[in-house]
Amino acid sequence: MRFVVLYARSRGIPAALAAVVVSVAALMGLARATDSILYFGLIAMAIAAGAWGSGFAGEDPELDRTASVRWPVYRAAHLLVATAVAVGVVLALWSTVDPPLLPPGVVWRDLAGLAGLTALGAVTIGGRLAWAPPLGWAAILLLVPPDPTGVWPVITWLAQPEGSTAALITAVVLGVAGFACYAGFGPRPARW
Amino acid sequence: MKRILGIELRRSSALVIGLLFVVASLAMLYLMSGPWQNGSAEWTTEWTASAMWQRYLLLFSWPFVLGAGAVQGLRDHRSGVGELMASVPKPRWHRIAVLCGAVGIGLGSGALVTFLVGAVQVSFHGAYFSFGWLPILLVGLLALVASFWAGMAVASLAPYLLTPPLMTAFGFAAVILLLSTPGSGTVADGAVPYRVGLLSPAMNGPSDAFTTVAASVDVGQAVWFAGLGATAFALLAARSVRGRLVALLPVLVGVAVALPILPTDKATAYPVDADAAAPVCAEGLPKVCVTTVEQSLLSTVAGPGRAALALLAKLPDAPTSVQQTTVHQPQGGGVRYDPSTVPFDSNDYLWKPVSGLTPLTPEELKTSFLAGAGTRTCLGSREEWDQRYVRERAARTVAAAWLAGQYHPLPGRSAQYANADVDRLGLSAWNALRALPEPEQLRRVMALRSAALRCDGDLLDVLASGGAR
Repeated sequence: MRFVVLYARSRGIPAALAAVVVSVAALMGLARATDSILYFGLIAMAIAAGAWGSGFAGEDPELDRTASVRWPVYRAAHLLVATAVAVGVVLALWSTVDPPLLPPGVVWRDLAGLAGLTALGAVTIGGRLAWAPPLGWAAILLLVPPDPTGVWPVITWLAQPEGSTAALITAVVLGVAGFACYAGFGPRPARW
Repeated sequence: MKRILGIELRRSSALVIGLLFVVASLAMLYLMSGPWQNGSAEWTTEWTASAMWQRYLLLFSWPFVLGAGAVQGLRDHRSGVGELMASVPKPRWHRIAVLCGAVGIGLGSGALVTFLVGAVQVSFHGAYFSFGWLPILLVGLLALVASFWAGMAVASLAPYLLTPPLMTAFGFAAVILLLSTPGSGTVADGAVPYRVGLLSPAMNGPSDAFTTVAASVDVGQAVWFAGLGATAFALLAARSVRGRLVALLPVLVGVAVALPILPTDKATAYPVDADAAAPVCAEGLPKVCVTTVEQSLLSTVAGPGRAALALLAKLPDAPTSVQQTTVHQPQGGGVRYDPSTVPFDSNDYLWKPVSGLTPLTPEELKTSFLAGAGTRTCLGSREEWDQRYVRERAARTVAAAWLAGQYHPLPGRSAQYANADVDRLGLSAWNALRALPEPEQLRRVMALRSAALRCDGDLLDVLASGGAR
């Protein structure tokens, strides 16, 4: 228990949780006030996944590695719990209103993929910038409308309807790749 | 000072940010399909449009500029040099000025390079040239640099790892909200008053080659972003709470000055550029004119336009010229125009192919000028899925057929699926019209023409009944 508390504190988990709850709630308020549900929903899901990113790396990943702790297990658990909490917060705030602003199937799919993107970000560019890939992909959707033909379902997977196979595959690939790389390799050490 | 600037350029994120800005913007422009490459004013074909599309793209990149500024602003906190720097006998703002200058150079050159990529293509396209793009570009540069500084200032006040992602997310929220102004056509249409929406660094792209940005918009935005930049710089340089409070003044003054300057409606904010829209006419009579920016259309339009005018001459009060119009049909339709001209809007679905890949044949162009006996459609572009559209198009086709003496479907690439319906209605009306005596045929077509000019009533009914009045 003591380890879990110390781990959570060292990874900024309480702050990330507060940031996720506050920003997802605020974006929902804006979405309901303006009827612009798709755009605010995408940003809400991206920040719900990306806010955990800075915690995916500790203060000093190189120092962490010298400890005889089974980090892959903890990293895997950290990522899974963070994703589940993000899904929980978004579902609780966005899908309980009637009619649901975002269908639960879309929330699960998008957040699984976005959490994978955040984890990939932590592995490649470090925890402090890991928020950028999920927000960056969501931002593409502001300019490119979701198109069901050709390669576009892969590029616009975040905004595809619930039944889209290509979007689901993209999300699963991103999620699994992020999970495997982050659990296996760990975060990139910070350079600055 | 110069040496330190060089060091800051290398050691800050300035060059990386500039490079990322170029790569991300060009990736969007080239790899994604968006309105910047399939409208009638593309980012590679017109000067003003190119600058406006790059401002449109800030919708995507501006929030990341805020976030990147915040990442840069965390540097001092991370390296824990605050006390050390405070002990140096040199004003704090000297150091801040060099850093701000370095990131300004990096980000500014990124935005300039992106614009140049478009500008080189535009110049090879042989487009109409005016300096309309310059203020649009300069205000965009100012907005980017001021926003980056603002990100740095916020992060220096709130030095947390979560500051950059939260600033980016709320930057997106702000820009989505600001672009949701009345008449924006977005889902949240009308959530924000028009003039407040103009505070957004991103702007909606142009719908045609002669739309420009009003000077009042440029000035208002420049004042507001200059205020933002000044506040950000003062916040970074301030060392006391009082200094920080005073630092907030410029942005408040900037907004207070900018809001009354900014226009309150779209027509004033994005007016037609009079020089770009000035008519250029083909030599000789009857007159066939296009706008200066679309001069290249003239050779395509002149022949079919004159052929159509010759056929229209059999009507009493026949139109005597063909002219490109700069007024687009609004959603409800009903634009007024001079009945002595045959107007055409190069934004109409009908005209898209002229600037696209499959040009209309002269015969098809002539048919399109004859449509509705030389009148404009009364329906906006969003009404193409309406039954009214099918009926109007059928009636307009019949009028063209009567003038040409032969039934040809109207050209146009959109709503292909409706063409069968149009032809079914059109052919039966055409046969009914031909069965009438000659003077009655003329009277019916004239009734259709005057109803189409007034945008009053169902044209197919007018054709069938000869008009109630």
